Amino acid sequence: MSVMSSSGKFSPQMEAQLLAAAARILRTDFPNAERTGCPTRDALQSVARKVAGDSESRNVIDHVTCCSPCFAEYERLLHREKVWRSTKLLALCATLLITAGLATWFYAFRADRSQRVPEPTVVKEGPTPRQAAPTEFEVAVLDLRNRSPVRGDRQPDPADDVVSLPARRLELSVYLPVGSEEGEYEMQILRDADSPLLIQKGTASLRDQNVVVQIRTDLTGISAGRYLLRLRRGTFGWRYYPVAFTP
Amino acid sequence: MEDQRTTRPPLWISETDEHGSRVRPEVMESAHRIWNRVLQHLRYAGQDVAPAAEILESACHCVSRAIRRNLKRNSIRNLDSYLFWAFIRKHTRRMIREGRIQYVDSVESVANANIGAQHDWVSILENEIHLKQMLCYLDERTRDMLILRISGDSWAEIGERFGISAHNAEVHFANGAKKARSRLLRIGLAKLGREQQ
Repeated sequence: MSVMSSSGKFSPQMEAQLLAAAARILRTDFPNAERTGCPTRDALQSVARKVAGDSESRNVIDHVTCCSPCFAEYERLLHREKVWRSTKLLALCATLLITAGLATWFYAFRADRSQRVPEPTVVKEGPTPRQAAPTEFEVAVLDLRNRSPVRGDRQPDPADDVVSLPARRLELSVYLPVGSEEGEYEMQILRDADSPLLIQKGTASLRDQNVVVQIRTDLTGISAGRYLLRLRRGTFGWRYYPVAFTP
Repeated sequence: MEDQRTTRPPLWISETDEHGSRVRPEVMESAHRIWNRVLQHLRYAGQDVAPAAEILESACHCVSRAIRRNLKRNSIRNLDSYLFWAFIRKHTRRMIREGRIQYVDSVESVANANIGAQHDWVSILENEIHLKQMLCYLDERTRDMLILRISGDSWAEIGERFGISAHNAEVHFANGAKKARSRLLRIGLAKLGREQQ
């Protein structure tokens, strides 16, 4: 078997043999009981850690070639350095792994709580108009934001723009006219001036820059047709709006 | 009676070499510093320490001449280890030459196994005696590379340290080992030639 490869180097196996045999000799054959001329432990350590300067490092290595105690100590320091590096690497990997695990768990937990997309429902049949159960309240909106109140004692003209509402049990959101203030409001449905068919009170609050009164009311007793809705804040004056109820 | 293992023979180095040149004082100081290590090394290897002082003196003269010639001005970083390896080299060579070294056959086996084609001479080097002989013939740079490779450095890191590419570092190391083997072979072959005469 050839020792050298064609490029003039040792084959790896031969090099390993040579190094192992040389290490055996260097470990034992150059005793120095009095440690004459030996570098300090710090110097050896800095060479093992590869932090020594070039000149110092070569000086120490020159000495190590002919001093078995220093060679043995140098080997020990190298081994310790290797173990320390491996431990550091292991700790780094473990930290990365734990961080990645925590990040994944945190992301999954958050997504589970707040960002889960609802699963789409599969509609097998066409939607049927939903009838409100007698005890349920339908959600309805009465938007008065751009409507003018009826002035004076005149009866509302049939040509006025009339708001219509179903005569049912309603969860009603009344959007008050622009400029209205928050507070307690009273609302009445009437045909004649002084005989209200329904009186309802509620608190107006600001919602998305609109003043809204949220009330729950039962309009099932009112027959279909045109009516007047009047409302006021506290004891201020009434404002009238035409409203039509549908069955 | 004093224990031979702890006896420390005196080291005396002449201040002038065989050419009459003055030996550099830093080299002599270095020799005194490593003297005890030299003795420990020889005792550990079971070698006679008697010729050690003479060989170390000779190594001192060589290193001093090299420094004077400025040939090694930039390459000797650690004079103690440089002198130590110079001693080991001279000692090995002398032991082989004088036939006093017990493992002289190793040189011959390396020589015989490798004349001509490239064979598995690294597996022969697995024998510690052969490898020891080769280690002392490695140049400083290759020996440093050997230590760094044993340390687990990649060729790219070693190349960066020496200011060369990873490929060049790897080739340099292989060539350094090959050169050490050639130097060892020369000694072995010379000895074989002498014996045949």
